Amino acid sequence: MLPTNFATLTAERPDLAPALDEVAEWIRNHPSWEVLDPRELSKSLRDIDTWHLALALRLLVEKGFFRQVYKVVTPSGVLADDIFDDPRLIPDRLPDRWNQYFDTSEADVVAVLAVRE
Amino acid sequence: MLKVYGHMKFDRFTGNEKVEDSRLYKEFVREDLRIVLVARWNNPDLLELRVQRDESSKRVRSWLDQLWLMLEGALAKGDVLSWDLSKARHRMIDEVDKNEEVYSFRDTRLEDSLSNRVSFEAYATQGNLFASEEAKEAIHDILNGKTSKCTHLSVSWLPRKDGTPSEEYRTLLGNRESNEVVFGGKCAAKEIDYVTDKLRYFNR
Repeated sequence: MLPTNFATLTAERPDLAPALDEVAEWIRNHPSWEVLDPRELSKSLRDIDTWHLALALRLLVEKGFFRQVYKVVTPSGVLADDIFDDPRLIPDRLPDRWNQYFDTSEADVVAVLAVRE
Repeated sequence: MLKVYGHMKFDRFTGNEKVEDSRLYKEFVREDLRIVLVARWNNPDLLELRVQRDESSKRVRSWLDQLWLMLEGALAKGDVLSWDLSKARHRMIDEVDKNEEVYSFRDTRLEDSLSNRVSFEAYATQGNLFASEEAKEAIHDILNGKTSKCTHLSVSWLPRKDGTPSEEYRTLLGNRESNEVVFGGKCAAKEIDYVTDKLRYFNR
């Protein structure tokens, strides 16, 4: 499961505490997720102002809890398996969930947060 | 076991195009591809044909044909029946609750009694489709149809205390053919054997 203990951060930035708590709760409710997708978070955490959510996520990256990586959205709208440190490293074609390769030049690339290695 | 090593050249389109004098030019680069094909008799009753994943289904089919050609002296394609895994997919879905420590599902494709196709895909790459009660219920409902079937099932084999599999391992059961199993990423022979043994059990 992704990290959920952000106590040091909430003490440091009490203005972002509600957003950080919500993010931690969301992670606990989605234990199998290997990345945090800001698009999914903003859809799920409607009570949190988008600006505060963005700041909270940025803080999590700055403080080393997560690193920003990239994933490609398949034609059916879900995330493809591969993770890329740099969007320029995305190959021309990738397999979707059904092992059918699609053209990545036409696909959305999503910045997501993964655990820092 | 028969192991075949080889290499081939193929032309990959770079995406660069230009038009000159009403002629369209597309740029291709010629690349080397290393090939490893395996045919293995898995005692007592299974012939495994292993080919690598590739973006070209045509190339994958040609490698399978190549394997059959090399086996020709000992075994012809008509000598064996294809191992239809429909029953295993259906049974694994039916018995998911009592096997929650063995596997989970991420994606599936179903065909109902009127041959309508339905796909379910967890959004996250590590998602568990049956964590959603709505999805679980809908999948069971469709499979309750008299002639409905599961054509594709993406299975996450969960790590076991004895170390096989040592980490979560995903396979796609069913693809272009009902007997096709796609292994994601690198895997050891013992993991292939583990999955094969499980499929033997669930296909009974």
